[in-house]
Amino acid sequence: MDIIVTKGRDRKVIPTGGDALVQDVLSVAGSSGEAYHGDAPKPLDPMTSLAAQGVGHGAQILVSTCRRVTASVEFNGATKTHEMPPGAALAALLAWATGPQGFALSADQGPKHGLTTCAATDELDKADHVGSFAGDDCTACFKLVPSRRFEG
Amino acid sequence: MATPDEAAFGADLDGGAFRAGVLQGRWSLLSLAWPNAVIAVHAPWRTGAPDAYALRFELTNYPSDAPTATPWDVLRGVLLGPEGRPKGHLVGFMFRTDWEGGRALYAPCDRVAIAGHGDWSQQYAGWMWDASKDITHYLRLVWDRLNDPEYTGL
Repeated sequence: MDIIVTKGRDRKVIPTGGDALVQDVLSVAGSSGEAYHGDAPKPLDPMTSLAAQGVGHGAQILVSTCRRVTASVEFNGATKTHEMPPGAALAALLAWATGPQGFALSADQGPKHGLTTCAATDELDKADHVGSFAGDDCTACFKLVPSRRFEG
Repeated sequence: MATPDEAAFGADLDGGAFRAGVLQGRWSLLSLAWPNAVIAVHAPWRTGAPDAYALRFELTNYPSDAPTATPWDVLRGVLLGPEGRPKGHLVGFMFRTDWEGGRALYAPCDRVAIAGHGDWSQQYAGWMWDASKDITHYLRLVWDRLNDPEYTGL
């Protein structure tokens, strides 16, 4: 099977077996740190196999030194923060940001928005890990923006 | 021996970002005959619509020059007509046929579109092409638009 290993903005596809240990995969990927899968609040056990921890073909794991990431989201001049596991997808942050605990966008408007980093203007991939945007201080800054049609 | 642009494109096909997209079922390489590559970008299910749309890229001077992509009818080997193009608020406009005869995507990472839109470098700076980008920058935009909730199929 193949899995996707991300560290920061670097991404690798690693061929491996389900019985491989997490630490073996990280070694092949040349990554040091803890491995996170999805919304799990704790890192994967490095000495336990991928399969035993629910990591299958096509899975994405993030290598991070942050156990939690504080994501701040800016929208219409206001900023709200949300703490998440580093392996959580941006889709989860977007759902929070558009939802009632975030900026409470309407059901119609929510899906028409996306996230950028505070330093750039391209809409981010919703499948990317929140932690892949975090700095050494385990914070990450995003903007909630409407998805735009290219016109002009 | 491969030219530098062909070698650069080959390296990007072997890179983690492109391969991750293949693994995630986002896109797949259908053919490569330099300087053209046909890549299918997969779409969510819609009644009567295909599960992917093919783009025929022209990649001369990649990545210094932006790629340009023609929506492609793979079976007939011709430009995809309006009836076969994805529809929807965001994606439909990108696949429009009332501009340049539909030979390129109306997007700020497409060479043909960039040429006619000097203001896009300000308006859509993040989506513009530059030599630091790779083919997944373009593909991800198309995939994003196909996965927009307002994509309606054909």
